[in-house]
Amino acid sequence: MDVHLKNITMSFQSAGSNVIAVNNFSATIKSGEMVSLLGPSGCGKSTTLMMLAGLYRPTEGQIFFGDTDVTKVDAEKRGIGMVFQNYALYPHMSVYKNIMFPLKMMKVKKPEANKKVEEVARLVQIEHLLDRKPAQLSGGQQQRVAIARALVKEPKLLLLDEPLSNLDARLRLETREEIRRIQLKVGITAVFVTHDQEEAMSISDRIILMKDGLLQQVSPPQEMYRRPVNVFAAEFIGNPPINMLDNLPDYGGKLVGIRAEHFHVSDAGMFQGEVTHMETIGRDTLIRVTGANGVSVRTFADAETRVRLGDAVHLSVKPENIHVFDKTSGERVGEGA
Amino acid sequence: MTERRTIKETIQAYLYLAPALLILGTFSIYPVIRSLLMSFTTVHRRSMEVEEIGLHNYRFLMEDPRFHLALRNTFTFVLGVVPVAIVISLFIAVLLNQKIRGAAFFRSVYFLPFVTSTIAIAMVWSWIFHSNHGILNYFLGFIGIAPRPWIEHPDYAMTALIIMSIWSRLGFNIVILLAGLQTIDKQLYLAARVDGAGVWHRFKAVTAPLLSPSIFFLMVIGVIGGFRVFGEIYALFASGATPLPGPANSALTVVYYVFQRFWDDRNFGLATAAAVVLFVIILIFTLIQFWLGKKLVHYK
Ligand SMILES: Nc1ncnc2c1ncn2[C@@H]1O[C@H](COP(=O)(O)OP(=O)(O)O)[C@@H](O)[C@H]1O
Ligand SMILES: [Mg+2]
Repeated sequence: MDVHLKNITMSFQSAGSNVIAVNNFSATIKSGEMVSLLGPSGCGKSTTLMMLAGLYRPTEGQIFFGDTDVTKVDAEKRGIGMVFQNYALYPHMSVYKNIMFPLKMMKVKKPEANKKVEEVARLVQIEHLLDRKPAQLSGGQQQRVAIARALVKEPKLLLLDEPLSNLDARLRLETREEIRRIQLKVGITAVFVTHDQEEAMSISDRIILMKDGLLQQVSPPQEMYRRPVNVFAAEFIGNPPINMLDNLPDYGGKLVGIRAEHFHVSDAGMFQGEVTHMETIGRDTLIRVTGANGVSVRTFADAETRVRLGDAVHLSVKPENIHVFDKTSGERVGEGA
Repeated sequence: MTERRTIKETIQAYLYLAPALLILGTFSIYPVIRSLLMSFTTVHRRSMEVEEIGLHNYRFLMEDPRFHLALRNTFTFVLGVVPVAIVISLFIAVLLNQKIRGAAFFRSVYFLPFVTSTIAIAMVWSWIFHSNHGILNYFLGFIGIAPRPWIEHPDYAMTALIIMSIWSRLGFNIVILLAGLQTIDKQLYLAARVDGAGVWHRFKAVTAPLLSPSIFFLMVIGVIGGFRVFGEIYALFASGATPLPGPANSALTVVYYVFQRFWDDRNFGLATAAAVVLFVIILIFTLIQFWLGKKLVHYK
């Protein structure tokens, strides 16, 4: 089932002022696809998700599930599955009853419902936890229960609102793979909200990048990394953050973005300076090179080049890895020459 | 710091506690023990000499039709007031917990009965219940119900008392329930909606169970308070020259019985025996409620 958002605007009246949380937003989520809604905190991701769920009604615009206009259909009737940031498990119900709840609301017959609960519990690997109360589970386990509850009614659309943000780093990595595995196995259309670009890059088929309620870029992760459409997209994607350089000799009046991993320490190159900082993270050595004018860039040093602190180095970069942006609009204008 | 208390610390602790213990001992524990002992005696009403010792007061209560009436009325009162007051307050509290305009104003309005004295409440209600100029009969007239002598007739006196008592309990109940409602995670309601639960199912599956500790608390407090009802009756009915608990004793409750036996008859033994019986009844009901609570209440 394709999902279409057409010119969606959502404004809130709060304390007398008008907050536009989502601004004339249009996007399509294709059937069976995992799409990330990515952007900094407060950019309107949750609001967009709530509108997809039917928990908020957009101030303007329409939402289509396939060919059906569901804009005015309430959450109760929309038949989607949703995983909340803090899981929102019913604290007084056992895991079993939590997962059973949506089926009970759909008046599914007991034997069939039991079978479905057991199936989905097996899918997310919590068969052994069914009798426990949510408070007796770890964060990761609660997460699985929340996913099971969202999937048990076999919805056409699964919505996840920052599902990993309450987990510790290691578990986040595991659960992220797990969510992707389940999504692929079930073949469900899914929208995954996150403010973590790495999470979005690793889990999704496509990323929808947002800022201040406005859509910035929609593209597959690699494409977003390789061809950011504006300064915001370039700066938001990638770790360490992209080097943004102003007033480079050949690029007057433009902003130039070069990712750390695209610089190479060499005998000659467009950027020269002194190594002012080094840190080794795992197998990589991150260095900071400061030029004569005080401008500094981050890059990685190969193990074999053996740079040391205080060395004077040249950095070269392939033209296709130079992103050029207009200084005033921030829009991409091309690559390096 | 070591875990063991030195003698000095212990003495210090008891010194801090002494004022409270003294007051508690003098005004609570000592009278309780004396009352219990007194309930097994009959003393002369002037000389206060003990004339009889034994179970005779309890035997008398078992036979006394007035005590039976008092028991019946008390049970009627508790059953009539506590559940209805909780249901109504629950309804209002849930409404007030919505994001509605003026909710804060209504919250204070509903709390007013709680901070208003029983006497003032009863005065206002005796005006409301007045058979000729009362506002209640006036409004009932609109929906075609004939005026009733709410306070003057034995058939209506208990109903009037129950109506007033329900109203006067709403404030406290609503405040407790609102506090309970505030602790419920709002996301649960969103999750329930996504799971397909309408208003009623959301109430049943989220609100009711998560509010059960508050409701349970109100039940226990309400039942105990209900069994001990006295002030409302005294203020509503007994303000005249002859302080009767309603026409033809129609609102005679156990505490009122105790009051009459004590002050009017000066039969201290009988009065305290009735009080002990009431104590046992309250104890049994509270134990039953705790037993039920263990099965039904969800604590975090
Ligand atoms: N119920 C609401 N009432 C008023 N303002 C809101 C409400 N929900 C969200 N907002 C505002 O809308 C903007 C987007 O919020 P949100 O969608 O939660 O952002 P995100 O999930 O991307 O962090 C924020 O400025 C937030 O303050
Ligand atoms: Mg959010």
